[in-house]
Amino acid sequence: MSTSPEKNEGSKPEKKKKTPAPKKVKVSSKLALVQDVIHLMNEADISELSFEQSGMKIHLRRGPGMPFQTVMAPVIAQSPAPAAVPAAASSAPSAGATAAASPSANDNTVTVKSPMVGTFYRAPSPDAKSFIEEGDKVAVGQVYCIIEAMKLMNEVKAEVAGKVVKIIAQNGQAVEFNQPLIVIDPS
Amino acid sequence: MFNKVLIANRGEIALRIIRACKELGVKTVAVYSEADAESLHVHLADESVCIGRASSKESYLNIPAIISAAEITDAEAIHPGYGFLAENAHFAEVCASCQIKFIGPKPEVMRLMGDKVAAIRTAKKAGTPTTPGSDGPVLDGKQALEVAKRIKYPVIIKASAGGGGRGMRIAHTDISLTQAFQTCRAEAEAAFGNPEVYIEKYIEEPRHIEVQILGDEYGHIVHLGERDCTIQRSHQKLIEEAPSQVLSARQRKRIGKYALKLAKQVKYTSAGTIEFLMDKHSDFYFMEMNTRVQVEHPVTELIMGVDIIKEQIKIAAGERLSITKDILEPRGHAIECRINAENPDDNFRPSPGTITTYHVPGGPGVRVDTHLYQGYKVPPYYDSMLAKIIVHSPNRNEAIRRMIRALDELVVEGVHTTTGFLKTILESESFRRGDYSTHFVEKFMKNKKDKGEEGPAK
Repeated sequence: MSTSPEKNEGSKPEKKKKTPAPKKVKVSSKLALVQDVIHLMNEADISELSFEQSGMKIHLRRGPGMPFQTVMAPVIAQSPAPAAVPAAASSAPSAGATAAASPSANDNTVTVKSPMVGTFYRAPSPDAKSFIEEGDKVAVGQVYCIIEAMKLMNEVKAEVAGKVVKIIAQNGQAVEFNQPLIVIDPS
Repeated sequence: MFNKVLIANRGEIALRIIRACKELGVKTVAVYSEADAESLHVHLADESVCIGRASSKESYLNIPAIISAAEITDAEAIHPGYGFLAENAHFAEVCASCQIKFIGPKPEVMRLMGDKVAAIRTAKKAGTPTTPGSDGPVLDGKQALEVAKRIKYPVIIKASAGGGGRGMRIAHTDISLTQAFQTCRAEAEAAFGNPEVYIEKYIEEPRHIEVQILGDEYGHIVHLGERDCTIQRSHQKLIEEAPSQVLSARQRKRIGKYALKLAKQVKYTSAGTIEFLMDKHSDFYFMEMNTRVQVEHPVTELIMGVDIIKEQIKIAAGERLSITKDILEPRGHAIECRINAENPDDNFRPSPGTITTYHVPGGPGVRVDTHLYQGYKVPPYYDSMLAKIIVHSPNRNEAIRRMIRALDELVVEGVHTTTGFLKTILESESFRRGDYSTHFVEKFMKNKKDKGEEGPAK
């Protein structure tokens, strides 16, 4: 039984404005945004992506010569909100908020997804040191980050011990439920 | 006018609100559960935010997630639709404290009219005719028996915190009353967290007539006429019409006047509906008030030429009601059929699944409010309503024919629907004649069974 309307194989379907950018976006940060989008494409193995937000539209496609990957990889479990994801949801990827799996380079990695809607912060306060950096080792129960929702700071704790491979979300970024935040290598 | 509105709902009503916003030049934010990622309202909104897992509690009833979604998208207002958080006064208060405008009435009015006992007291104060009853909560079995003796059987026990036809029992004798009283209290506690019940005279063969209210924040309130929602199954509306063909001009004026007076009494703002029961003597009694927009609002929109959702948004944005007359003149007759994903041949068991073929009816005077599309997966987690087919014609007979025509054109395959069942109701002589009560569907189904007819094939 088909799980969703037809999609072009190998490319992300156009989905309007999934992830809002951080507040107070200035002109110069638009270039940083493009950089982030390219970064995200590499991380999630996306070959074509459309991104639209606040009057700006970006459309990026990998040129010929790049491996053409499908992005319908199964969701790997073990994240702060273990997802009993219904079929429809897991095959509904979109720009910047996909529930797709970790980079295909290392199949053992675990993607930590946001357990709530809010703003992602890497440190307990603006001047403080970040909770974690890429390359750090983390233990079970260790705080990864804070998601601020309705003026409350919610700590997101590690449920799996391992090494921080990649921090996907940006400091101050608005995140939705199930948005990929951090990639951990538990081995 | 708002720059951006978040829609805290799903399905057809979310789409309805998005459409109104687009026409007003307002940006839209859809929120959705994991199960609704491919839903039409998500695709058509300007932005969308996943707020949680499939269960309503974790998503569409999840206040922190919804408020958070409004904050990260800079939405200035939230439209709650119907159901879910639409009549949740606490949610309205949370919105206010977060400087987000709740598109609906004030929390204190929601609380007042949401409490059935308090609402009846308020109705009495406004001079609205109310059903003879306990005039307050019934605290024990002894009091219940006393009330029944005074108002005479049959009586109905209702939960104060209930609504939507839930938490009610009828009793015809002292013994059945005593039993029903205890059961009702237990059910009320379980379903609504509040065991308080009250008793009313049970109106036999009632008709359900409701009046649409719209009020702005400057004290200007109008009513948009009545709707007749007598065709129900287990207290769930199936077919709604406007205007009601059983009201004389004089009755129409009276019921409208009472509704308006009650709305003014509570200084009502935004959209709301006051529901009455009419007995076989054509006396009507206040039943309850719904402090939100209703599923069947389209029939009023068509005969009155008013966009109720747009009016709600405009009112919330601080605009004055554009309707200047206290009473508008209706034009023609409108009928709405609710198409549910249920199997009428299997006791209306819900029928989730994938819509393999979908074809929308069209042509003059046909309006379809739906979130369906071919290939859509109907999730099992929410209510089973798929679509509302609404028709508008110069008179009732033509409207009935138009509806039958539209239902014939409608194709929904892959799930069971109630389309065929509704069609047989519309084709029946008794429906055309219009002399029926809320027991119509029950009698209709029993009749078919007795005749040995199976349910419709569709």
